[in-house]
Amino acid sequence: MKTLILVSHPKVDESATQAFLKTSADSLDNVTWRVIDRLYAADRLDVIAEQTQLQNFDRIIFQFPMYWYSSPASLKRYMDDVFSRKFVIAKRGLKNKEFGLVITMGDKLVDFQAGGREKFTISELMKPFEAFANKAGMIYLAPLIIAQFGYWSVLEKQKKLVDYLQYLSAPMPLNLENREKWLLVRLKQLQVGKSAQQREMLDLIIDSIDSRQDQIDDLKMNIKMIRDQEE
Amino acid sequence: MDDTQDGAVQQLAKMAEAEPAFINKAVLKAAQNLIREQTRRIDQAQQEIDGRIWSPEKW
Repeated sequence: MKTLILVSHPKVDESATQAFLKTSADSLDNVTWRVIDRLYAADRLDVIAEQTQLQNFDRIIFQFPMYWYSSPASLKRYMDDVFSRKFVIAKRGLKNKEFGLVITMGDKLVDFQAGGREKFTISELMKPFEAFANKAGMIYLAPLIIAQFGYWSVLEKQKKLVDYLQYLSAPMPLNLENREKWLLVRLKQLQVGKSAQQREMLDLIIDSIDSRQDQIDDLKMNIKMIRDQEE
Repeated sequence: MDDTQDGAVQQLAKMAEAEPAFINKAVLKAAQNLIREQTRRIDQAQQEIDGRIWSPEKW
Protein backbone atom coordinates (compact mmCIF):
# COMPACT_ATOMS: atom_id res chain seq x y z
CA MET A 1 0.00 0.00 0.00
CA LYS A 2 1.30 3.46 -0.95
CA THR A 3 0.59 6.57 1.08
CA LEU A 4 1.01 10.22 0.15
CA ILE A 5 1.30 12.90 2.82
CA LEU A 6 0.49 16.37 1.55
CA VAL A 7 1.70 18.88 4.11
CA SER A 8 0.24 22.37 4.16
CA HIS A 9 2.19 24.65 6.49
CA PRO A 10 3.47 28.17 5.78
CA LYS A 11 6.42 27.74 8.18
CA VAL A 12 7.07 24.02 7.90
CA ASP A 13 10.83 24.33 8.48
CA GLU A 14 10.27 26.03 11.85
CA SER A 15 7.77 23.49 13.13
CA ALA A 16 9.04 20.98 15.71
CA THR A 17 5.82 18.98 15.30
CA GLN A 18 6.29 18.62 11.56
CA ALA A 19 9.96 17.69 12.05
CA PHE A 20 8.88 14.95 14.48
CA LEU A 21 6.26 13.67 12.04
CA LYS A 22 8.68 13.81 9.10
CA THR A 23 11.33 11.77 10.94
CA SER A 24 8.66 9.24 11.89
CA ALA A 25 7.25 8.97 8.36
CA ASP A 26 10.74 8.56 6.90
CA SER A 27 11.05 5.25 8.76
CA LEU A 28 8.36 3.74 6.53
CA ASP A 29 8.71 2.40 3.00
CA ASN A 30 5.98 3.35 0.55
CA VAL A 31 5.26 6.71 2.16
CA THR A 32 5.86 9.93 0.20
CA TRP A 33 6.11 13.30 1.94
CA ARG A 34 5.35 16.46 -0.03
CA VAL A 35 5.05 20.03 1.16
CA ILE A 36 2.47 21.95 -0.87
CA ASP A 37 3.91 25.33 0.13
CA ARG A 38 7.27 24.36 -1.39
CA LEU A 39 5.60 23.38 -4.66
CA TYR A 40 3.97 26.80 -4.87
CA ALA A 41 7.07 28.68 -3.68
CA ALA A 42 9.15 27.11 -6.44
CA ASP A 43 6.32 27.60 -8.93
CA ARG A 44 6.50 23.87 -9.60
CA LEU A 45 2.86 22.84 -9.45
CA ASP A 46 1.96 21.07 -12.68
CA VAL A 47 -1.73 20.21 -12.37
CA ILE A 48 -1.79 17.31 -14.83
CA ALA A 49 1.40 15.78 -13.39
CA GLU A 50 -0.05 16.18 -9.91
CA GLN A 51 -3.31 14.46 -10.87
CA THR A 52 -1.40 11.60 -12.50
CA GLN A 53 0.80 11.19 -9.45
CA LEU A 54 -2.14 11.14 -7.03
CA GLN A 55 -3.48 8.07 -8.77
CA ASN A 56 -0.40 6.09 -7.73
CA PHE A 57 -1.40 6.22 -4.06
CA ASP A 58 -3.92 4.19 -2.06
CA ARG A 59 -4.09 6.52 0.94
CA ILE A 60 -3.87 10.31 0.70
CA ILE A 61 -3.28 12.31 3.87
CA PHE A 62 -3.71 16.06 4.27
CA GLN A 63 -1.50 17.19 7.12
CA PHE A 64 -1.75 20.71 8.48
CA PRO A 65 -1.96 22.93 11.53
CA MET A 66 -5.52 24.10 12.16
CA TYR A 67 -5.88 27.76 11.16
CA TRP A 68 -9.23 29.31 12.04
CA TYR A 69 -10.95 25.93 12.14
CA SER A 70 -9.66 24.89 8.74
CA SER A 71 -6.39 24.33 6.89
CA PRO A 72 -3.84 26.98 5.90
CA ALA A 73 -4.57 28.66 2.56
CA SER A 74 -2.09 26.59 0.54
CA LEU A 75 -4.20 23.43 0.93
CA LYS A 76 -7.36 25.15 -0.29
CA ARG A 77 -5.38 26.54 -3.21
CA TYR A 78 -4.06 23.05 -4.00
CA MET A 79 -7.55 21.55 -3.85
CA ASP A 80 -8.95 24.29 -6.09
CA ASP A 81 -6.10 23.88 -8.59
CA VAL A 82 -5.68 20.08 -8.70
CA PHE A 83 -9.14 18.72 -7.93
CA SER A 84 -10.84 19.80 -11.11
CA ARG A 85 -14.37 18.65 -11.81
CA LYS A 86 -13.06 16.64 -14.74
CA PHE A 87 -10.50 14.81 -12.60
CA VAL A 88 -12.64 14.20 -9.51
CA ILE A 89 -16.14 13.73 -10.93
CA ALA A 90 -15.88 12.82 -14.61
CA LYS A 91 -12.78 10.64 -14.44
CA ARG A 92 -13.35 9.50 -10.81
CA GLY A 93 -9.60 9.99 -10.33
CA LEU A 94 -9.71 9.57 -6.54
CA LYS A 95 -12.41 6.93 -6.23
CA ASN A 96 -11.94 4.26 -3.53
CA LYS A 97 -8.77 5.86 -2.19
CA GLU A 98 -8.52 6.33 1.54
CA PHE A 99 -8.46 9.94 2.65
CA GLY A 100 -7.11 11.00 6.04
CA LEU A 101 -6.43 14.21 7.94
CA VAL A 102 -3.56 14.73 10.36
CA ILE A 103 -4.34 17.95 12.20
CA THR A 104 -1.91 19.64 14.54
CA MET A 105 -3.01 22.27 17.01
CA GLY A 106 -1.96 24.24 20.04
CA ASP A 107 -5.32 23.97 21.80
CA LYS A 108 -6.46 21.13 24.01
CA LEU A 109 -8.49 18.48 22.22
CA VAL A 110 -10.98 18.46 25.12
CA ASP A 111 -11.98 22.05 24.19
CA PHE A 112 -13.52 20.71 21.00
CA GLN A 113 -16.81 19.28 22.16
CA ALA A 114 -20.36 20.39 22.85
CA GLY A 115 -20.23 22.53 25.97
CA GLY A 116 -16.45 22.90 25.65
CA ARG A 117 -14.56 26.14 25.07
CA GLU A 118 -14.64 25.78 21.29
CA LYS A 119 -18.17 24.28 21.26
CA PHE A 120 -17.70 22.23 18.10
CA THR A 121 -16.02 18.87 17.56
CA ILE A 122 -13.17 18.36 15.10
CA SER A 123 -15.47 16.07 13.10
CA GLU A 124 -17.97 18.92 12.75
CA LEU A 125 -15.33 21.48 11.80
CA MET A 126 -13.78 19.19 9.19
CA LYS A 127 -17.09 18.50 7.41
CA PRO A 128 -15.96 20.26 4.19
CA PHE A 129 -13.18 17.65 3.83
CA GLU A 130 -15.60 14.83 4.56
CA ALA A 131 -18.05 16.25 2.02
CA PHE A 132 -15.24 16.38 -0.53
CA ALA A 133 -14.29 12.76 0.19
CA ASN A 134 -17.92 11.75 -0.23
CA LYS A 135 -18.22 13.55 -3.57
CA ALA A 136 -14.94 12.09 -4.80
CA GLY A 137 -15.92 8.54 -3.79
CA MET A 138 -13.08 8.32 -1.30
CA ILE A 139 -13.06 6.48 2.02
CA TYR A 140 -12.89 9.11 4.76
CA LEU A 141 -10.75 8.10 7.75
CA ALA A 142 -11.25 9.38 11.28
CA PRO A 143 -8.84 12.35 11.59
CA LEU A 144 -5.68 11.95 13.67
CA ILE A 145 -5.27 14.90 16.01
CA ILE A 146 -1.87 16.01 17.29
CA ALA A 147 -2.75 18.45 20.07
CA GLN A 148 -0.24 20.42 22.15
CA PHE A 149 2.85 18.55 20.95
CA GLY A 150 5.07 20.92 22.93
CA TYR A 151 3.74 19.56 26.21
CA TRP A 152 4.23 15.88 25.47
CA SER A 153 6.42 13.67 27.64
CA VAL A 154 8.81 11.18 26.01
CA LEU A 155 6.29 8.40 26.67
CA GLU A 156 3.50 10.35 24.98
CA LYS A 157 5.77 11.06 22.02
CA GLN A 158 6.51 7.34 21.68
CA LYS A 159 2.84 6.45 21.80
CA LYS A 160 1.80 9.14 19.32
CA LEU A 161 4.64 8.21 17.00
CA VAL A 162 3.21 4.69 16.67
CA ASP A 163 -0.34 6.08 16.31
CA TYR A 164 0.95 8.23 13.44
CA LEU A 165 2.86 5.40 11.74
CA GLN A 166 -0.24 3.22 11.94
CA TYR A 167 -2.39 6.01 10.54
CA LEU A 168 -0.03 6.15 7.56
CA SER A 169 0.51 2.47 6.94
CA ALA A 170 -1.76 0.08 8.88
CA PRO A 171 -4.87 -1.51 7.40
CA MET A 172 -8.00 0.41 8.41
CA PRO A 173 -9.93 0.56 10.68
CA LEU A 174 -7.36 0.78 13.45
CA ASN A 175 -8.95 -1.91 15.61
CA LEU A 176 -7.04 -4.32 17.84
CA GLU A 177 -6.69 -6.93 15.11
CA ASN A 178 -5.28 -4.52 12.50
CA ARG A 179 -2.97 -2.84 15.00
CA GLU A 180 -1.72 -6.30 16.00
CA LYS A 181 -1.02 -7.24 12.38
CA TRP A 182 0.88 -3.99 11.85
CA LEU A 183 2.94 -4.43 15.02
CA LEU A 184 3.89 -8.00 14.12
CA VAL A 185 5.30 -6.78 10.79
CA ARG A 186 7.28 -4.06 12.61
CA LEU A 187 8.60 -6.55 15.19
CA LYS A 188 9.75 -8.83 12.38
CA GLN A 189 11.52 -5.89 10.72
CA LEU A 190 13.16 -5.12 14.05
CA GLN A 191 14.78 -8.56 14.06
CA VAL A 192 17.05 -7.55 11.20
CA GLY A 193 20.52 -6.77 12.54
CA LYS A 194 19.80 -8.09 16.02
CA SER A 195 21.75 -10.86 17.78
CA ALA A 196 20.55 -14.47 17.49
CA GLN A 197 19.37 -14.35 21.09
CA GLN A 198 17.35 -11.18 20.53
CA ARG A 199 15.86 -12.58 17.33
CA GLU A 200 14.80 -15.68 19.20
CA MET A 201 13.27 -13.58 21.95
CA LEU A 202 11.33 -11.53 19.40
CA ASP A 203 10.09 -14.76 17.79
CA LEU A 204 8.72 -15.89 21.18
CA ILE A 205 7.04 -12.52 21.69
CA ILE A 206 5.51 -12.62 18.20
CA ASP A 207 4.16 -16.14 18.90
CA SER A 208 2.79 -14.98 22.23
CA ILE A 209 0.94 -12.03 20.61
CA ASP A 210 -0.40 -14.34 17.90
CA SER A 211 -1.70 -16.95 20.34
CA ARG A 212 -3.38 -14.28 22.49
CA GLN A 213 -5.13 -12.99 19.39
CA ASP A 214 -6.33 -16.55 18.61
CA GLN A 215 -7.60 -16.82 22.18
CA ILE A 216 -9.48 -13.50 21.81
CA ASP A 217 -11.03 -14.69 18.54
CA ASP A 218 -12.18 -17.99 20.17
CA LEU A 219 -13.67 -16.16 23.15
CA LYS A 220 -15.48 -13.71 20.86
CA MET A 221 -16.96 -16.62 18.94
CA ASN A 222 -18.13 -18.28 22.16
CA ILE A 223 -19.70 -15.04 23.35
CA LYS A 224 -21.49 -14.64 20.05
CA MET A 225 -22.87 -18.19 20.31
CA ILE A 226 -24.11 -17.59 23.87
CA ARG A 227 -25.64 -14.22 22.90
CA ASP A 228 -27.37 -15.74 19.88
CA GLN A 229 -29.01 -18.36 22.13
CA GLU A 230 -30.30 -15.70 24.51
CA GLU A 231 -33.58 -14.00 23.84
CA MET B 1 -2.51 -11.03 35.06
CA ASP B 2 -0.29 -8.08 35.98
CA ASP B 3 2.94 -7.12 34.19
CA THR B 4 5.23 -8.79 36.73
CA GLN B 5 3.73 -12.17 35.77
CA ASP B 6 3.88 -11.52 32.06
CA GLY B 7 7.20 -12.65 30.58
CA ALA B 8 6.56 -11.15 27.15
CA VAL B 9 5.88 -7.67 28.56
CA GLN B 10 8.97 -7.92 30.76
CA GLN B 11 11.19 -9.00 27.87
CA LEU B 12 9.85 -6.18 25.70
CA ALA B 13 10.55 -3.68 28.47
CA LYS B 14 14.17 -4.90 28.69
CA MET B 15 14.59 -4.71 24.92
CA ALA B 16 13.08 -1.22 24.80
CA GLU B 17 15.50 -0.05 27.46
CA ALA B 18 18.49 -1.38 25.53
CA GLU B 19 17.27 -0.14 22.14
CA PRO B 20 19.12 2.96 20.94
CA ALA B 21 16.75 4.09 18.15
CA PHE B 22 13.78 6.18 19.30
CA ILE B 23 11.39 4.75 16.71
CA ASN B 24 12.25 1.12 17.57
CA LYS B 25 11.89 1.92 21.25
CA ALA B 26 8.42 3.29 20.49
CA VAL B 27 7.49 0.11 18.58
CA LEU B 28 8.65 -2.09 21.48
CA LYS B 29 6.62 0.01 23.93
CA ALA B 30 3.59 -0.26 21.63
CA ALA B 31 4.00 -4.05 21.62
CA GLN B 32 3.94 -4.01 25.44
CA ASN B 33 0.74 -1.95 25.38
CA LEU B 34 -0.79 -4.28 22.80
CA ILE B 35 -0.14 -7.32 25.02
CA ARG B 36 -1.68 -5.49 27.98
CA GLU B 37 -4.71 -4.68 25.86
CA GLN B 38 -4.98 -8.29 24.67
CA THR B 39 -4.77 -9.52 28.27
CA ARG B 40 -7.50 -7.09 29.29
CA ARG B 41 -9.73 -8.21 26.41
CA ILE B 42 -9.20 -11.87 27.33
CA ASP B 43 -10.13 -11.16 30.98
CA GLN B 44 -13.20 -9.18 29.95
CA ALA B 45 -14.36 -11.85 27.50
CA GLN B 46 -13.94 -14.61 30.10
CA GLN B 47 -15.87 -12.53 32.62
CA GLU B 48 -18.60 -11.91 30.06
CA ILE B 49 -18.91 -15.65 29.41
CA ASP B 50 -19.11 -16.34 33.17
CA GLY B 51 -21.77 -13.64 33.50
CA ARG B 52 -23.85 -14.87 30.60
CA ILE B 53 -23.85 -18.56 31.50
CA TRP B 54 -24.66 -17.90 35.13
CA SER B 55 -28.30 -18.54 35.80
CA PRO B 56 -30.25 -18.08 39.05
CA GLU B 57 -31.90 -21.47 38.42
CA LYS B 58 -28.55 -23.23 38.67
CA TRP B 59 -27.53 -21.38 41.79
